[in-house]
Amino acid sequence: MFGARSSRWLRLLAVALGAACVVGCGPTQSTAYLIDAETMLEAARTAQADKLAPYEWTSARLYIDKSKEEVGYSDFEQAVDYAKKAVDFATRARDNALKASRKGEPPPPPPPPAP
Amino acid sequence: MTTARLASAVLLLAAVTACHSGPQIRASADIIKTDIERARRSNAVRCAPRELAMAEANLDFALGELDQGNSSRAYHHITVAEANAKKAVALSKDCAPRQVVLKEQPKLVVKLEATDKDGDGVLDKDDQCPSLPGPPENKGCPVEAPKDTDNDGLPDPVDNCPTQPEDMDGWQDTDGCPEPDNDGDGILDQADKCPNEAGPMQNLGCPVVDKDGDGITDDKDQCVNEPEDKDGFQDEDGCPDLDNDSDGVPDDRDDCPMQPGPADNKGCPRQYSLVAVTRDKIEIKKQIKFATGSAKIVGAESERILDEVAQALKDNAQIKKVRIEGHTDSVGNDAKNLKLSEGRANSVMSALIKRGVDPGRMEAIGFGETKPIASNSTAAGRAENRRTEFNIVEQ
Repeated sequence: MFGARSSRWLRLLAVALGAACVVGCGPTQSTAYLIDAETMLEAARTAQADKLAPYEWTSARLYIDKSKEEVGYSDFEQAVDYAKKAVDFATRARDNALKASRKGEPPPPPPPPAP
Repeated sequence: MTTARLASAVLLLAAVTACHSGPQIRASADIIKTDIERARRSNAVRCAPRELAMAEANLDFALGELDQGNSSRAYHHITVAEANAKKAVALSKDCAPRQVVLKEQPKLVVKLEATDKDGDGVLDKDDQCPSLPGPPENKGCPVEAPKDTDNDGLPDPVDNCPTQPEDMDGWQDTDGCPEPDNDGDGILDQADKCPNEAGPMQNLGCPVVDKDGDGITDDKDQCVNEPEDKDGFQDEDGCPDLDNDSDGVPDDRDDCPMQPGPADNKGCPRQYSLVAVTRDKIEIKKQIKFATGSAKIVGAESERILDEVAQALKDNAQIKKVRIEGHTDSVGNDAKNLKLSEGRANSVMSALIKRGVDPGRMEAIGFGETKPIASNSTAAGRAENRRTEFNIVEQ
């Protein structure tokens, strides 16, 4: 159906797409997770998580900073991992802060982080 | 010289790198992990949250960098982690949650006791008849049933009359003796309408009672549920008479309860000057006068008599019907006299109706000369015969 020339072009296109994905997916993903983490952290700040859930708040901030640092080293896989953890901590920080403000008491201690 | 400097630098770098070797950092990481766990147990999340977070995160970063082969960055993180872990432990020293001491529950002890299925007081293990009650002297087995000579269902030992069967009529049936006259009124139960209540023969063995408590026993009381009022008027019938004279005024408000009278005269008969109310008639003390040969009433005195007759009828409501009778003397034609007397009786009735007497309480009849009350041969007798009568026919 296809000629030898067409077949060569198709192979080249596939290789180019694969390379683009390998090079481009890492920064895109890490950036997306970092944006999520920053957004959640902002939401946590609005809920006064820095005062009401300091453990989760501090953890989230540390992981965001570290994720950004890893992006700087172009270690995107590690950056994505840290950004995910940052999202998780920021989410918990906001939830605990909201609970604490509703009850007027500090939230219960969280479970130990996954190894 | 330059070569020597370069060599020194390489040696120094090698020394630094050797100090931050991977195994060393991992060993430190293990120690820090232990500190972190200790701090967590001491509730560092509450008392040292930032330090705990710093320690955990930097430990994580250190291990990550080690995996990437960056031992110097790992060393930096492990240093931060170590310092913060120590701080967290120190800050949370007195922060551990209160311990709850659970008391040990006393152990439940179940004792199995010997059973006594038939409840005769002899334990099953010693009871030769565990399903049948019996005395201990008979080893828990029932003794032989006693005799019942009269077959009345009561064994002889508990039968006061072992040879006479109990009549089982619901009266002292446990003594074993028959009671032919339960209430002891002299009338045998078979003929006694009330075998368990004493009463005279006249009342078929039933007690004479007086339900309404008026002193008149029910067998003579016509109103067994209403007590007699004992006011001297028909007190024997047992029924209360609340208006003895039936004048419509109750006895308790009637000053003359035995004589009928209007309510406005407190139930007492009114005193009339021209009439008198007797048991069976309203007597008039003077005669009503009519025009000669006519039914027309004449004279002021006649009007006054009619006024009082009308008043008497109104005052005596118990008089249900009165018959106005017209009578003549024997002078003249019989038929004419009869007609004249009828006309005169009707005139009187009309006059009374005009005075407000209910026509249903009156009837007018002319008797002519048929019922004289005196001799017609004398003038005085004839004058007596010319008369009007008011006879009470129903009350």
